[in-house]
Parts: sequence; structure tokens; C-alpha cells
Amino acid sequence: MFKRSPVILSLAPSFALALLLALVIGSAYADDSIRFNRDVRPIIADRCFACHGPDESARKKNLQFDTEVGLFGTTEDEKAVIVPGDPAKSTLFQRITHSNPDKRMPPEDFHAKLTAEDIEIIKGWIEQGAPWEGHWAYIPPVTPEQPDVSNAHWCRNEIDYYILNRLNEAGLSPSPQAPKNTLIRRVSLDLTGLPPTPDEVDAFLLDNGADAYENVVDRLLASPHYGERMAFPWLDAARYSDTNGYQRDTKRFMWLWRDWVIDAFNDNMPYDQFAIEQLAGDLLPNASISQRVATGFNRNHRINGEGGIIPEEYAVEYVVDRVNTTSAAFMGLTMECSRCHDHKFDPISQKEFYEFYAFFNNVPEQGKGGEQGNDVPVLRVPSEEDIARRARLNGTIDSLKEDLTAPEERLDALQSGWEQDLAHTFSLLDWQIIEPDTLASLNGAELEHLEDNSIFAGGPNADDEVYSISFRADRSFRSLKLELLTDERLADYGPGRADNGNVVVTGFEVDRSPNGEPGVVERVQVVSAIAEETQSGGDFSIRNTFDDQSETGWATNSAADHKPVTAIFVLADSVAIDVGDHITVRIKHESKHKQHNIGRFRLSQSPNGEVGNWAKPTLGPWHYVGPVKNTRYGKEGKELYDEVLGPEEGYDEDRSYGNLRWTEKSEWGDGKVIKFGGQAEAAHYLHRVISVDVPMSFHLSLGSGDAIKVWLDGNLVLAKNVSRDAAPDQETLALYLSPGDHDLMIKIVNFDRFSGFYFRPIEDDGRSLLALMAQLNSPVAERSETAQLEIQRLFRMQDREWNQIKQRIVRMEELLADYEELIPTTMVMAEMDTPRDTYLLNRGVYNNPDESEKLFPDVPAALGEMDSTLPKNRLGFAKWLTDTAHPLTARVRVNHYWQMYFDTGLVKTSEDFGTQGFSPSHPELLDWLATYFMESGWDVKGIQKKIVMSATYRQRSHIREDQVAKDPENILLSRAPRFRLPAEMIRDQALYVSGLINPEVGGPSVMPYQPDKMWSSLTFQNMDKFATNYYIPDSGDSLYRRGLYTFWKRTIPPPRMQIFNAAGREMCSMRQENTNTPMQAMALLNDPTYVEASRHLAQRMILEGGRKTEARVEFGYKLALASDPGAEKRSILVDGLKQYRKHFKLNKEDAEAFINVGDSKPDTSIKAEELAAYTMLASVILNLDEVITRE
Amino acid sequence: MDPRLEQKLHINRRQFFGKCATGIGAVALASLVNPNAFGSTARDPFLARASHFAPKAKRVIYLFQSGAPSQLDLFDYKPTMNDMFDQDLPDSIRMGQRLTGMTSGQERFPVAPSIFKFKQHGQGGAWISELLPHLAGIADDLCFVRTMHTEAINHDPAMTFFQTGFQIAGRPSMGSWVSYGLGSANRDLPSFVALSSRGSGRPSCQPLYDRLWGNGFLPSVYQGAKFRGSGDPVLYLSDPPGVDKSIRRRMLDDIAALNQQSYSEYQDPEIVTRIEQYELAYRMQTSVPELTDISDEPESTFDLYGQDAKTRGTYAANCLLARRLAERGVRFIQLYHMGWDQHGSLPAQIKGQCKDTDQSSAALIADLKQRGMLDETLVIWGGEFGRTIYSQGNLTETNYGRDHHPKNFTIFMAGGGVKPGMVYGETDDFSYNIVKDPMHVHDLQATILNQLGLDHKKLNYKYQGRYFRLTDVHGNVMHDLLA
Repeated sequence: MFKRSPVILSLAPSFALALLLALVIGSAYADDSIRFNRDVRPIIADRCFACHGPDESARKKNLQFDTEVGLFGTTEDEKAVIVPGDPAKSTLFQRITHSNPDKRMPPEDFHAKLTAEDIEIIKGWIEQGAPWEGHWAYIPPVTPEQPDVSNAHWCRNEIDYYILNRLNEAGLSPSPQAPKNTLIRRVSLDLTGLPPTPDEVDAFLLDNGADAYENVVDRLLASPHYGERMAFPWLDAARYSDTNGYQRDTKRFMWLWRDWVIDAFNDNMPYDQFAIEQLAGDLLPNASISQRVATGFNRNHRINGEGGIIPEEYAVEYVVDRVNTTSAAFMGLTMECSRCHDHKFDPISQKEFYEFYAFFNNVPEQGKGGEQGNDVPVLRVPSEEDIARRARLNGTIDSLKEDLTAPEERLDALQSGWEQDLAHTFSLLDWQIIEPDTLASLNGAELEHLEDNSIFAGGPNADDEVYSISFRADRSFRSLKLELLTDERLADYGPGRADNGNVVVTGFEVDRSPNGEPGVVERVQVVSAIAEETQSGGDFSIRNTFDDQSETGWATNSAADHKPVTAIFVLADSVAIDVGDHITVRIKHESKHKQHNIGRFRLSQSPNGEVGNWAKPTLGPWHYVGPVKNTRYGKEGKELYDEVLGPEEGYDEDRSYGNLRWTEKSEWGDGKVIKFGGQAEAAHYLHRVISVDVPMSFHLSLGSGDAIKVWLDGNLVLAKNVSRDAAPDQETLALYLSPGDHDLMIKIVNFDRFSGFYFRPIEDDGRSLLALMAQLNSPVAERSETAQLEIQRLFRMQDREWNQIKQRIVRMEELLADYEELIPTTMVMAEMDTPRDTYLLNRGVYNNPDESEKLFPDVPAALGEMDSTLPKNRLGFAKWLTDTAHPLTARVRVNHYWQMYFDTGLVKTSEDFGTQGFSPSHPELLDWLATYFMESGWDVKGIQKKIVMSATYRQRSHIREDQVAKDPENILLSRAPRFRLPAEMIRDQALYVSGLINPEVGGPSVMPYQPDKMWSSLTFQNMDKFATNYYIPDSGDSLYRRGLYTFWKRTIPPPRMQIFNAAGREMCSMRQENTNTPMQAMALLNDPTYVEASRHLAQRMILEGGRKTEARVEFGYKLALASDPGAEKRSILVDGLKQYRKHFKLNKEDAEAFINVGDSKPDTSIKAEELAAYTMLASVILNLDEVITRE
Repeated sequence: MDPRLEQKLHINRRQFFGKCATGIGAVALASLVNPNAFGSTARDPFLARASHFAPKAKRVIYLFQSGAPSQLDLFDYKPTMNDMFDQDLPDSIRMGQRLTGMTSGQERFPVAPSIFKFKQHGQGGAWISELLPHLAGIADDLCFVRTMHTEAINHDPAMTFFQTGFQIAGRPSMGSWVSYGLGSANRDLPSFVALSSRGSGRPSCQPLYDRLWGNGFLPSVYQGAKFRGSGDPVLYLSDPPGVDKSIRRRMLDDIAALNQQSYSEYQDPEIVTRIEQYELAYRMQTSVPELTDISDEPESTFDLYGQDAKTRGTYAANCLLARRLAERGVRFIQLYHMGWDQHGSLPAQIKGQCKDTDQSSAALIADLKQRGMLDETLVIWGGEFGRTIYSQGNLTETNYGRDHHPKNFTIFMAGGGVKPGMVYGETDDFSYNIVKDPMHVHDLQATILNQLGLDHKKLNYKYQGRYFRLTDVHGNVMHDLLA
């Protein structure tokens, strides 16, 4: 747990510091070139800006030292803050040296003090004439002059002149070039994250050409692994992760974006394009899928789905995160401070923060989200293969659909016979139109008896109305038919009197006076009804006309089309209507829909009462068996869903499954959620029989918690693998039923929490039957095409073969839908049509906007205005950012690259180029690199090649005493830095040298080994497919993917990464500090990853390293270090091996155990104790400081 | 190193080395020739560091009750509520306070008085529910604060707020600040250890996150070491199967010899540090199992802590482990017990939680006291917020649930220089608003640091151009609570 340390402070810190300061003060006197930016600004920024800086609200005495005007201005009593050349007359100097502690600045209670050394520096600067410099980072870079150096022959390119110049000044000389072995390992690791193979090493050693090294560099830059290596630090900056990062920390799927980054580097996408596409790819003209995927950069932030959160609060956090990440990653700016108040150190006001914020505030997102994986806006991204497969499936479905209606002799012949039979059945209905005797209305409508015995309603149209129609029964009847008719006198042709032509019939009552006896009135109950058409949306069922409620009623869609429509009412058979009975029919309109009264209608009667039953399927009682448990707990229930469990083999009420049996559940009603109790990871089976008299389509509404499958007569008709709690109307399903009994089987798979189901037949009110009746009455030639198809469908669904085709289509469509679901999505940026309003948020709080002024997107003034031709949106912003006049973009980027090759950036604080960050160690070099980069057309590979081709980069990393003395931190680069490899590279290297690695590039994240219960001990036990409760390691090849592909759970990151100082991925991270800890030692020694890699490295030593022990040892060493061990190291290694061999010969069981660590099996051609001994040796190699260090 | 200091060294050293004579070189050289056995870092985390002023406590044991225990059923006795059963919470009390998304849609807010009996205990007369008989028994050692309040109303932000002083993740946890401030008193163990257990009251509970004991922007050496309840207590502690101590020792010697060779070649003191880390790892392989092996505890220990203390990973076992860590000088020991989030079926669930924690929490305090360690150990017991007087979901005579309530809740402290037998702060009849003596999360944090001898305003770290501290820009030391 020890921090990587500078050498200088090895003594007690206070002593070392005192010593150093004493020396430094001496030096400040001696140095007559105190520079404002380098020496003075950091002091006053740190000690003075808090009260005398950019933050207007915090500013005291109206004194501002961060601007030239302010610093060289006057105090309230008109005295000069600074008098150049005269410290004693400068108010600032007077106050920092004041003898009265109450007047001395900074005040006593301020957390930072001025040291004697600080005061000397300020004094010296004033004495020199107090030359002002603006903050270097906000001044656009210009190409500096190449410095003169004394021994230019050392220089290989421009970089070296700047480095050598500083070394010359410091009296240091550069180090010689590193040995070729070291160099090829260094550059291979740096450019691809993988070490060179022995063949690559040998080829380089043998190549004495002038361009040998350059050829290696070019080969590495062309490797697909280059993109992987470059992507990793960018993923840290972009806070890329596989989970959402709050509370349950559910899964998200952003790997398409990650792969976009890898591809962008491999394709050498120019950096300006790299930035523009990530920030605003969606706004580019004709944005491609790839350009939209790129915008995932600004969706990588954490998303909160916790139950009780206030969404608006988090919606603000997401936008703030985008501001912080975008400004830090692209501009090295820490804008975060300005969220709550004007920045105390850098020229960014709080208002400017929210203007910047406005660029990112128009995403159609939700504040609460992520519980179901990716959150809107998302993009589904089919691969070429997906598109082809989708087309194939659609093609098959289309051709099957054609088969359904294609002429077929056998069926067509049968159909005409069937039609005749059916027409005969219908003819039994024998409708007779009723001729009314008297007509009456309750609220003033004038009812007119027309010639065709229909009735027209004219006169006043009251809000509510009841029509009474009386007639004498001239025969006994059981059914009444009501036809709603159109009429040109009605608004919009009717059939209703409402403005829209619609009607709502709330009651249909029938009274009988036997033999017309006055005073005797008997109600004849309507027991069922069917309607040709029912209005969708809301409850407008025909059943409402004979229920107990007066407000609910029947309405139709046809009214909107101004077509006639029919309903049939079936009367109870308990009361026989006889010839001579006096009948009154009352049609009521009493709904909240005012004036929805019928405009024209006609009544008919029929002695047939069976028609009502024809339209209604009979549903048998439910039978249930469950819960059927999965034996493999923890597998996301996927197997349970796919597995064919006993009950699924077919309904058999006598069969038992373990101790489970089918039981009747007659109490389970339709139309409400039935719960099964809280068994997680279990399947439930339901069965019931559906019987119908006539062919019909039967529509169902279903709900399920969680996944559901439905079979009709053994054919799968619905399958949906979802995670949810059961609720009404989650699925609808059409069943095509031929006359007779049908088996309906339902399987519900519960993953977690509540399980249950919901079942409701959707009343179709006999629509298909009435349609059929109407159509059958017309000759074939006169039928519409739709009607003909409908009749054909109703006939053919009685055919087994037809049904098989139909079910196949259902399955194929299901497959297609499943497949569509599998096509990955990725979160992207998008703009809302109407931009969200942006206001300054007082103290940064979401519900405290300053509504006095609406803010619009803009950039901070100190960084240069946006060109007026640019749109004020993300695209305009991205173009402003990548304009060559931008002071920060190129500098920040080249600095980040530099950091990859030298461990420390030229600006050490690569995330902060503001006044509180470090000044550049080589300002001219930084500017040269930045301008060169831009002039090259932002050529990323080009700038990196430039760096690794320099003599500076190629130096040895050996530490010389004179370097330690003059430059202990190696800031001047008189040698190459040696530093521990980043976390992911340590593992990648072990996998690579052992031959275990799976070099596949891209794809979904994988789960390599991880200690047990790291997730489960800290998480919810609730499970669904987005939960991250259990870590289930992959097996086989996926275990050996590069670290970049390891599944990253944000709240519990991969331990192997964390131990080796990987970034946390909660927020933007531009650099990591390396530590040197015992946990790292334990991980490298004991993590199964490294034990298994050691065994594979051992196998390679034995099988590929030759016959002699020495040769094998050398081979293993060379695999890891690209060089020979030399005599001394070799003898340690060989002696060690002998000891290990001796040990394992005596402890054969130990040997067996040791070589069986990991998923892969040991090579049985090698004796266990021999393999164990070599494995131990390989483990020694993989643990060496040099191996985990980039020399 | 403090980046401000580093910056100064960076700039001025360059000036100095560029122009001046030698002198400093000798210092650097000395470290090369005779590197400190534990690395040469300016801020060696395994090294004890001086506090800002004389500390009252040497260490903290924080018993974090994750999910938020109901103050109404444990400590904040509100007898008048019995007459208010099922009546609506008056608007004058609620005052439009924001609610969580879980009850904001509820039509009524019926008062649910606690069904548990309360009695006064000890000289201080603290009201304690019948659910906590053991803690009641040591009431005179405890200092209750009934007026804790926080700003967050949901678990994730509230936990993060308690641990890091800020609702949004990214800042260092309290334990990290302490180990950054004070270093370690034990060279073989980390200075900040986190332990977790799952409650029996509500097994499906609020998750925990690594960030709760994370280092935020402090160097990662300061992150809490999670001692695990199963498998290796410290990750990768055990040697692989088939590797015994003898061969491990031999191979470590080989690694050391080879690294020594590299050191001769490169002269990088980091290599020496690496050699030391391997030795320290080897020692931890002994010291950690020694720490976690409770077979040396007498039976009386388990009489005190309860038999659960024999089962690894339980809260009781973690309490015992906390005492053993404290004995070995670990500065900041944080236990998390999950399962207090009782939105429904509170009476049944809270019983389980209390059974998990009552005896062992009391035992830990009593044990520290009998060993003379309580004075120098600050123990804190509490959750991330409180719970509402009104019922979430159906209210019956015997059953109710309670939603999150940030405006007041109860915690208690013991030892470490706080006043024993004290009850601080008053809430209204509904335990809904603070009437007197509030204590904010930042105040608690300031007070904890204060007891350790650290000034919460001075313990800061510069990151991204700004000085950060645990208490953000707030916090007052609660002198009223201090002995």
C-alpha cells in the first residue's frame, strides 16, 4: 500500500522539506528571471484568488488579481496594487508582509499561508518590473522556434531539440539509446499493450537497417491491438462501464461505443473528427449509424433507477456530468466548481457554466432509468449479418403468408360446401323486420316512421334520450336485431345525432304485455348480445347495454366511418313471447357523452336464440401445477425458460411431477392479477379448455411475472422472455379457433420478486360472426377482397395443415421478434424538438433555478467566442472545440498521449490546465506538439509515431547518480522513465506470453475469474436479467479476452483492476496514480488468472523451449522480457527450478493440485511434478519487477 | 504528497537544479543507499502521522446500520402518538416536505404509533425500546443524538453523503480521510477496514458499494480494505492449492534475489519497495489469518457477543473482529449491517434486525470497556436517515411500514471522549421535525475527526484545482456532546 514516490523525501518529510526550502530560497535570490506564469501566478492563485479572483460574489474589497487590469489596478483608497520595480510601494506586498497580523494577508483563518519563499518570489518579481503574462493555457499555441542545442547529433526529430535544450541548461546529458531488446518490448507494450514475441525480437535484433526500428513502429501502429491499447485510457476519461452505477447497479450495454473507439484508433480517425462524432455525431448531416453510436460518449454517465428518487434531480446530475466530462477530457478544464458559484481560480462564471450546460440539456432522457438496461435514447445497431438474417426471416414469413391464401383446389372445393352449410345455419335466424305501432321519446326527439320500417329521430336533440318503440308480436321470437343506419339528414350522415355521427347506447330493454293486456307489464331479460363493431379504447362493449349501470354503453368505430352497423340481442328463454303480445323496446342514451342519440335505426326479430352462444367461447376452469423449481439457482432463470419441464410435455391431469400435481383452481377469475406467492426461480403451469361452436378468432389479453410461453393445442403461440411483475394487458394474443375443444397451456417463469398472471378474454362481440353473416349473404362475385379473405380464413383455419402453417408463421414472427431483441442497442445522444429551458441553478440545486433569465448555449468567453456561422448546438460546440484557434484542445490531447509514453504529462495535471493545475515542464515542446498535431490534420498515429521515434523516447531507463542529484523526478527526461504497467496490461501480458490469450477484438463484455461472492455479499437478492447480483464467470475462450473487455461493474469494479490502480469509472479520469502494495503481490502470486497463466507459460517453456533446462528457462524469460536473463539471473532461475522440482517430487498431490488451477486442463504429456516445478518458475518470472514494469 | 507541495517542489526544484550547485543530491543519494524499509514515500500510509492536536480517541468503530433503522420503534419515544392511530399526519407537521417517489402518490398519511414498549434506562433516563434489551443495559455508556438530520432521501445518495460528505459519488470516504490524515498504527494491517453483514430482518436489502469505503480522489492506498465474510478475508490472501509455506518462501526468495539484480542494474528505489511489498504480503498471510482466527477466544467471549459470533460473516462475528482489529491498532473500522429498510411489515422485520445487532453491539462496547479501550475508541451506531411516523402502505393494529425520513433520526455514540449517558436533541411529537439542538451529518463528521485530533477544516486535499474536505464547506464540532 505504498505510494510510488519521489526519491527526494526519504528522510522525515519535515526535515527534507526544510532542507529543500532553505536551498530553494537561496536559489530564488540567485535567479533573476522570475516568470509570472511559472513562479508567481501559482502562488497568488492558491493564496489570493479565493477572495480576489474570478468569483465575483466572493470577491473582497473589489480587488481582483487574476486579470491584468485588476492586478495592476488600484485599491479602494486609490493606491496601486503593484508598483513595478518597487515592492515597498506595492500595496499587495505591503499587506502580505504587514507586521500587524490582523492586517497581514492572507488572513489568519485562511487555510493556506504564504511562506517566506513565496514572499521572496513575489518581491523578486516586482523588483524585476512585474512583467504580466496571461494564463498560458488560454493563449492559443503558436509553433515555437526550435532551440539551439550543443550536441544536435543526438537529436532524431524536433522533440529532441526541446528536451536537449533543457538538459543542456540543467547540465545534464541524455541517456544512451536503450538496448534493442528493451526498446522493442517498450514500444510494443506502449503501442499495443502486448509484449513482442521472441520471433519479433529476433527479427529486430537481426535487422541492422537504418529503418529497423521504424519498421517495428509501423507494424505496431497497423496492428488491431493498437486500437485496443489506445482505447483503454479513453474509456477511463469517458467513464465507460457495463453498469448504471447507482443502487442496484443494473446492467447497461455500451460495448458498441467501446468498439467504435477501438475502430476509430485503428482507422486512424483524425482527432477533430474523433471529437466531433462523439460530441455531436447525431447532428451531422445524414448521420450514419456509426456516427450516432459515437455519441455514446456523453451517455456513459451513471444513471439512477432507485425506487424513490426525484427524477428531476438526477436529470440535472446527468447534464452536469456531461459538462464535467466534456470539459475535462477535451479541454483539461475543471468546470465543476462553477456549478454552484463563479469559479474561484479560472475565468468561468456560474452563468457560463449553465450556458455550457445548455448544450447538453436537450437530450430526451428520463431522470430515473436504467432498471431495464439501456435507457432512452437508444439506438438498435444491426450488423450486416443481422440485416441479412432479418431479411431471410421476413422472406420466409412472407412466403408462408402467401401460402395461407393461395388457391388450393382441395380446400377451395370444400369451402363452397361449407359456405352453403353455414348460410343454411344463418338462414335459420329468419329475420323479420318489425313494423312499429307507436313511437315515443322521453326528452322531445321527434321519431318518424319511414317506409322501410326504419325510424328517424328529428327535432330537439337532448343530452339524454330514451326511445320507446311498441309493436304487436306476430310470432314468438327470441332475438332482436338493431340496425344503426345512416341518413343524409344527420350530421355527417349519422348513424348518430352527435356532431361526430356517433352513438352511445346505454340500455336496451324489452317489456311484454301478454296479449296486449293493459296494465300487465313483464320485463324480458336480455341475456346476451353481439355487435358487428365495437369502439376500441375504453369500455364500449355491447354488454353495457344490459348491465345494471346506466352510464356505460355501446359505441362503434363504424360510426366514425358513417357506415351502418348491427347488433343482436338474445332474450331469456324463460319467458316465451307469444303471438299477440304487446312489446315495448326502450333504447336508452344516458351516458356522459351528451347527445349521442341514435339518428336512424330499424328493428328485426327472429325465433332463433342460439346465435348469442355462437359468438362466445366457453372457458373451462383453470388447472395449475407449480412452482417447478430450477435446480441451478442463480442462472438468471434463462434455463428454466428454455428447459422443457414435465408439465410442458402435454396436459395430463393424472400425472404428477415430483410431489406436484395438477389442481383445479375454479376460484381464479379472469380480468385480475392472480399471484403465485414469492417463489423466485420457479416455473408455473396453467391449463384450461376453450370450446367454440363456430369458427372464430378469439382475442386474449395477458400479463405475466416474469417470462411467459403460451401453447394452443400444443403449438407455441407466444413466447416472451421478459422480467417484470404481472400486470393487466402486457400482451395481446389472437387465437384462431375451429369449432370444438382446444387446449390452452400457459407457462410463467418467475425470476424474482412477485410472480403471477393475468388473463382476460377481449370481447369481440361476435364481430367476425356477424361480418360473416353479412358477407355470406352476398354472392362471391360481389364480395370485397377483404371479405373474401376473411371468409377464406375462417374456413381454412379448420384445416390442420393450414393451422400448422399459421402456427409456423407465429413462431417465425416470434423468432424474428426475439432476434430483434438480441440485436444490440447502445445509448446515444439526441436532441428534443423543443429544447428544454436552461436557467442558472442557485447553488447548483436542481429545484432552485434563477428564472429571471433564460440561458442559451454558449462557450466560456475566456476560451474564445464561437464563430457566428456555427450553430449554437453541440455540433457548433464541437466545431469550435476542434478549431485550430482553440487554446486547449490540441494541447490537452498531445499531453494525454505524452503521458502514455512517459508516465507523466508535460502538464502533470493532465485533467487540469487551469491556473490551479501544474505548469508545463516544457512549454515550448507542448506547443510544438500541439501545433504540429493540428497542422498534420490531427493525425493521431502520426503524432504518436513522432513521439516514439524521438531519441528522447528511445533512451535507456537506468538511473544515474547525476540525474538523481539534479532531477530526481526525471522531469527533464535525461532518461526514459521506468514505470509499472497499467492494470489491464499486466494481465494481458501474462495471458499473451503464456499463449492463453484470446486475441478477438470487440464484442460484448466478458466475465473472467473473480473471487466468489464479491457481488452477492453486497447486493440486493432481487434478480432480473439486468441485475448484477451474481458474478458467473465465463468459461473457455471468454476467460482469456483482454482486460479491456472485462465486465465493469461500477459500484464493485473488477478487483484485479482496482488493485493495480485502474480508474474507478464513476467519473472522468485522465490519469491514475500508481501504488506499490502488498495486495498487488498477493494478486500476482495467488490469483488463479496468474497461476493458470504460469502453468501455460511453463508448458511453452517445456514444449517450445528446447531440451535443455537452461534453454527452457531462457525461453520463458525471453517470452516475458524480450531478452536473455544473463548468467546471474539464469543461475538463480535454474537453481530455483531444481528446488521446486525436488519439492514437487516429494509432494505429488500438491503438484497435481497446483497445475489444476483454472478452467483449462493441464497438458497430460508432461509429468505433473515437472509441470508444477516449471509453473512455479513461470510464476517467479511473472512476478518480477521488470516484468510488470515498462523499462 | 499534497499536490500543492508537489507543485512547489516541481517548479522550484527545476529552477534550483537548473542553476545551482549540488547539495540536495546527497539527500537523494542517501535514500538510494539506505532506502527506508517501507519505501521512501513522503506520506507512507503505514506510518503513523501526527494529528492536528491531541486526540481524544485513537480509533473509530462505526457500526453502520444500512437501510435506515426506525428511530420511532427504537429510541425516539412518542407516547402521544397512540391517540393518533390512523389519523392523518397534520399538514402543519409535514409542511410540504418532499417525499420519496414511493409514498408521494399515497392518498393518506396515517399515523402509525410504534407497537413496541419503551422504558427509561440508566441515570440519563434514555428511552429505549424493548427490542434492544442489551443496549438498554449499557445505556449509561451511550450518548444518544435524536436530532441527526441529512439532506438525502434515498439510500444511495444518503449512504454516499454519510460516508463522503457529498451525495454524488467521487469523494473520499471518512475512513480514507482518517487514514490519509493519521496513517497507520500497525505495519502489517491496513489502517481502514470495512466489514459487511446481511440482516435477517430483511434479507433482500439495500446494496452496498465499494465507493462507501473508497478513496475517491485520494491516492488509492487510503481506500478501506474490505475484509470479506467468506473466502479469503483479504482478496488473494491464500496461496494457491498445492503451494505450501516452504515452497512459497523459496520462490519469494528467488523473486527477491532477481529483483535485487534488477535494482543493481536500474538503481530504481521502486524496486526495493517492491521487494518489501512481497515481504509484507508474506507477513499479511500470517497476520490476517491470526486476526480472523477466533479459536483463541474463550467461551466467555461468545457468552458476551452471542453464539452468532462464531459464524463468520455475521454482524456478531464482525463486532468481535472489530475488537480484534482495534486491539491491533487499526484506525478506522467500519461495519455495515444491511436490512433496515422497512417499507412494509416493519414490526416483523425490525425484530430480526434487532436480534442480529443488539447483543453484539452492546457486547462490543462492554468488551472495549472491560479492556480499558473504550476511552480511546469512538463507537458510533446509526443509519443513513430515519423513518416516517406515517405508515407506508396499509396500517393495521399490528402491522405498518415506514418510508424514508431525512429530517430527524437517532444515532448513538460511545467512548472516544463523548459524554456517556447523555440524550441530545428533541423532536416534535411526531418525530417529524427537530425542535431543539439539531446535528447535521457534516457536524457528526467534524466531531468524529475532532475526536481523532483532526481539524475538519484543515484536513484537505487539492484535486482538480480545488481543496476538498470531508465536510465540504460545512460542519461544526458538537462540543455539547464532548466530555
